[in-house]
Amino acid sequence: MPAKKGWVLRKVGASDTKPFTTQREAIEDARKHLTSAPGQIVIHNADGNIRDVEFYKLPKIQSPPRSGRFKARKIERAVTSIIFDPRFSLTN
Amino acid sequence: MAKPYVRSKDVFINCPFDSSYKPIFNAIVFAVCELGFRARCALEIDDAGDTRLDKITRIIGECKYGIHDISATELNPVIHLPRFNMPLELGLFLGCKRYGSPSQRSKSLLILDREPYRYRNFISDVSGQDIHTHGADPNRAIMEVRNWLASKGGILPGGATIQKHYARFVTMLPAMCQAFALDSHELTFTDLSWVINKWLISAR
Repeated sequence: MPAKKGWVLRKVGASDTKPFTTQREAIEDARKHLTSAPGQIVIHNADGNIRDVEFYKLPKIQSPPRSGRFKARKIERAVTSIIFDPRFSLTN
Repeated sequence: MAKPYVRSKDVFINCPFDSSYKPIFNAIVFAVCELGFRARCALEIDDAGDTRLDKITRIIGECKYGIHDISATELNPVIHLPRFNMPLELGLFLGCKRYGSPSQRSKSLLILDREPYRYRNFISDVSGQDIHTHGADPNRAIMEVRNWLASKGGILPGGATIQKHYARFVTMLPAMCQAFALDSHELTFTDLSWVINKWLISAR
């Protein structure tokens, strides 16, 4: 994810990592964490929108068959803001 | 009507759409999506083109898999008749399997009911199909859907993992809906599918 200085890895329920200078470095570090356990890497653009998703030992999530009333980007932003909201921390 | 192309990831969900059934419906949609499949149902139809039956037939034709919940087949206390839409759509799906092209014949279905063997009282001809019970419990419905789709091949998340994710999703859903000034009960099927899609991509 983009950060104030560079790029960070953000995991639900955990603190951000130290910032990486480039997005490529951040992605490569994230991949190292997913060599054995199932998981996924969500890669964001500089504007915070999701650019790509890599699935590891997990099925790819399919897109719904058609568009809804709301733009997918708007739903994405709403969902992302809630997922990282401290009120919904995994420790709560 | 053009021959439908059967999509190997599409799952037709044939179930009641009333509010009392919503917790089970949402749980089934969530499980289907987390397992890497695409949930389809009659609720995705919103244009005024073809007849409703034409649209349902098209969706059924496009889905390799079908989940048919016949638990709402019971007498309406006011009109003293049961609702026949679910058994009708189950029949259409079975008809594709029986009389369709080779790809239609490869369809697979799961039939869900509230209690074991209740179906024998009103649709005994489906004996011999894959009929399971969810006991009106969303977590059991998730487990049944997971175990059935896992039997189709591939490495899929476990039922307990999906149940845990679904519980977290349900906790967050009202807050996510606030962004659209909606109550979570006002989400359409397509909206819900997109929220689940984005949640699964970002939160699991």
